[in-house]
Amino acid sequence: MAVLIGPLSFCQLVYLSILTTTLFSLTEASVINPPQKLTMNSQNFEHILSWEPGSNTTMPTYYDVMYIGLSGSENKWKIAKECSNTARLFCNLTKEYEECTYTYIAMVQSITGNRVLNSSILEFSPYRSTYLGPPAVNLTACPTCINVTVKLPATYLKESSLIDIYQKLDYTITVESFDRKEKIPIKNETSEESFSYVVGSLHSNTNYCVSVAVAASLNHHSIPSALKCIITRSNTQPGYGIIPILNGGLVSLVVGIFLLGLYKGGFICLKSKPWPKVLETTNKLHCSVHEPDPENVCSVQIMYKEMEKKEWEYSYDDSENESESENSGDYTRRVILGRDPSSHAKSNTFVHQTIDCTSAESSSQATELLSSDTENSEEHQSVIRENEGISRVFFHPSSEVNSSSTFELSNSACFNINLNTVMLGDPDKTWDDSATLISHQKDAVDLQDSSASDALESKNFTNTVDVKKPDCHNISHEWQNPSVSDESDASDSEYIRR
Amino acid sequence: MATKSQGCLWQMCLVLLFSAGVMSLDCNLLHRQQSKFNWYSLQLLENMGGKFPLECLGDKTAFHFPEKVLKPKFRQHAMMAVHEILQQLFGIFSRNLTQTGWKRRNVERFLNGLALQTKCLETCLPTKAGANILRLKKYFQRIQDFLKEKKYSTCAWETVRKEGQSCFQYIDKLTVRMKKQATNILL
Repeated sequence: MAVLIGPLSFCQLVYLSILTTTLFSLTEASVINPPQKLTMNSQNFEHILSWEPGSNTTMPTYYDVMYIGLSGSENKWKIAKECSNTARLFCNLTKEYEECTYTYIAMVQSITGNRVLNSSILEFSPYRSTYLGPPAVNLTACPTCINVTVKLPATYLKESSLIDIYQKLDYTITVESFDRKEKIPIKNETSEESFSYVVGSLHSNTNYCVSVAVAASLNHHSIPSALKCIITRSNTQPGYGIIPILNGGLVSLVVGIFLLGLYKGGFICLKSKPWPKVLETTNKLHCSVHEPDPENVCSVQIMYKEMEKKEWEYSYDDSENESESENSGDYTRRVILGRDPSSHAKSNTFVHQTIDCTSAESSSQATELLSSDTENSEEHQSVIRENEGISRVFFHPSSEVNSSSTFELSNSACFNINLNTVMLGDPDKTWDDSATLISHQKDAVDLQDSSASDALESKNFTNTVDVKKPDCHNISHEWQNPSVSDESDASDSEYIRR
Repeated sequence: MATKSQGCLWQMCLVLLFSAGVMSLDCNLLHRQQSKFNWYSLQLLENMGGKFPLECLGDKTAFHFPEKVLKPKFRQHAMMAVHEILQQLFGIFSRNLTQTGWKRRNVERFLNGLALQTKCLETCLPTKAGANILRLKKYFQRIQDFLKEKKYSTCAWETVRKEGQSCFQYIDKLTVRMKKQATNILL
C-alpha cells in the first residue's frame, strides 16, 4: 500500500508543477494591457498624441496610431504614417488632422509579440479644442497709456492662419500694476493677424505688466502671453530729446547775435581806448596844478607909500646890513621879493609888509623883510600876483631875521619880475603914470633870475632885460643907490631914475 | 466626466446665461449674442451623450454640408442661414430619443437653448427668404432620412449628434458674417 501512495504523490507533484507553470504563463499574458492615458497636446493646430504603455513587460512593444474622421465619409481606420510600428510613446498627428472642422477619433494599438491591443479612443476636434497662442506682444509707453501691439501666432496648417480659420478672434489684454494691486482686463475682438490697442487712463511713471490671450468664439482654449512690463513715462524717442537741445541752441544764437550787434554799435566796449593826446595833457596839467611849481613867476606890484622923507640907505653887504637897517627910513621899502624858491611850496602866503622907516625897529623889520631866513619857522613869501600889469608887494616882518643876510638875496630870496607888470609911482597918483615910468625903467631894471629854474623866466621877460645869473648882490646893488634928491614926490621918480 | 450635480449646475448656468442674453435685442450686436448662444448650445449638445461608441463607426455617413452657404454675400443671408439650421436642429432633436439612452433633462436643456437662440434671431430677421435656404433644407432632409433608415438607432442618433456639433461650427462661421460691416459685400 505504501508503494502505491508514493508513486501517486509523485504524479500529483508533477501535475501540479505543470499546472502552475501554465497558469503563470497565462497570467503573464493577461497582464499585458493596452496603451492607456491617451492625451492630446494641441497648440495652434499642431497635434501631438501621447500615451502610456499598458504594462511593464520585458518584451518589446510597438505601437500603431490609428485615427478616423467622424465627419468624413470614410469608415475605416487610418494609420498615421509617421507613427507606424513605433516604439515611442507619442505621435504627431498634425498632418493627419487636416480638416480643422472635423472631429477625429484616435486610437493606439500596441503590438507585443503576437498580441494586439487597442487602447480606448480619444475624440478630438481641432476647431474646438486646440490651444490658441501665445501671441507676440510689444509694448510702447506714453505718459498715461500703453500701446500694445499683438501679433497672432502662426498655425501648423498648410496655408492657413488663425484668421483664415476663425475669421474673428476675441482677445483679452490684462494690465496689472507691478505690485499686482490693480488688474484691468480689456476684451475686444480682431479680424487681423497683427493689431494694436492703446490702454489709456493709466498712472504716469508707474510700472505696468501686460499679458494678452487670444480665443475663438467656439474655442475658449488659450495660452496667454508671458507678462511684459513697462513704465509709463514720456516718450523716449530721440526726436523728443533733440527739440529742447535745438531750442537752447537757437536761444543762445539769438542772444549772441544781439550782443554782437551791441558791440558793433559801440554800446559795449571791450577795450579801453587810449585817451586822445589833448586829453592826456589835460591830465598832466591837472596833476601839475597840485605839484609845486618850481618855477615861480611872480608879479610884483610896487606900491609907493610915502611916510617920511628920509634917506635910507641900505647895503646888501652882509656886514652892513645891520647898520643900514638901522638907518632905514620910513620909506616903504620897495623891494621886490621873489618867491623863495627854497621855501616850501605849500604856503603861498601873501606877505603884506609895511615898513616903517621911522624907527629902527622898522628898519630892523625891513631888514627882516629882505632876509632869506632859513631859520624862520614861517616863511615869508610874497605872493606876487599879477593883476593886470599891476603888481603889488606887501611884506611884513614875520620873524626874526638873520641879520647877516638881511639884504642878502640868496637863492631863496631871488625873485623874478615881469617887467610888463612893474609899475612905479606914487600910489596916490593914478597908476597910469607909474605905468609910463615903468616902461622907461625897463632898461634900468636889472632883473635877476631865480636860481631854481631858468627856463620859465626867460619867457617872461619880453623886454630887453638881461637875465643874469642870480647875483643878488647886483640887484641889491642897483637898489642900493637910491637917489634921494627931493623930498617931494618927484624925488621918487628921481629915485627910480638912474 | 463631471458628476451629476456639477452637470446640472452647469446646465442651469447655461440656461440662465441664455435668459440673460435675451435681454439685449439690439440687432447690431446680434452677432455677439449669437456667438454666446452658439457656445452654450454646443456645450449642451456635447453633454447630452458620452463618447462616440466605436461600434457605430460602421453606420457613419457623410451628410455633405453645403459649403456655399458658408460664404453669404450679405449679412441678412447669413442670419437666415443660421435661423434655418437652428430650426432644423430643433426639429430633429425634438423627436423621441428614448432609444439613445440620453438623459431627458439634458435633451430638454438643449432644446430650450435652441428655442431661445432661434427666437432672438427672429427679431432681427428679414422677412424674405434667401436662396441658400433651400440647400440647407435639403441637407437636413438627408439627416432625417438617415435617421429613418437606421430606424432611429442609437448609433444613428450618435452620428446625428456629432453632425449637430459640426452644425454649430458652421453656425459660428455664419455668425461672424452677421456682424454689421461698413459695406455689405462680404468676402
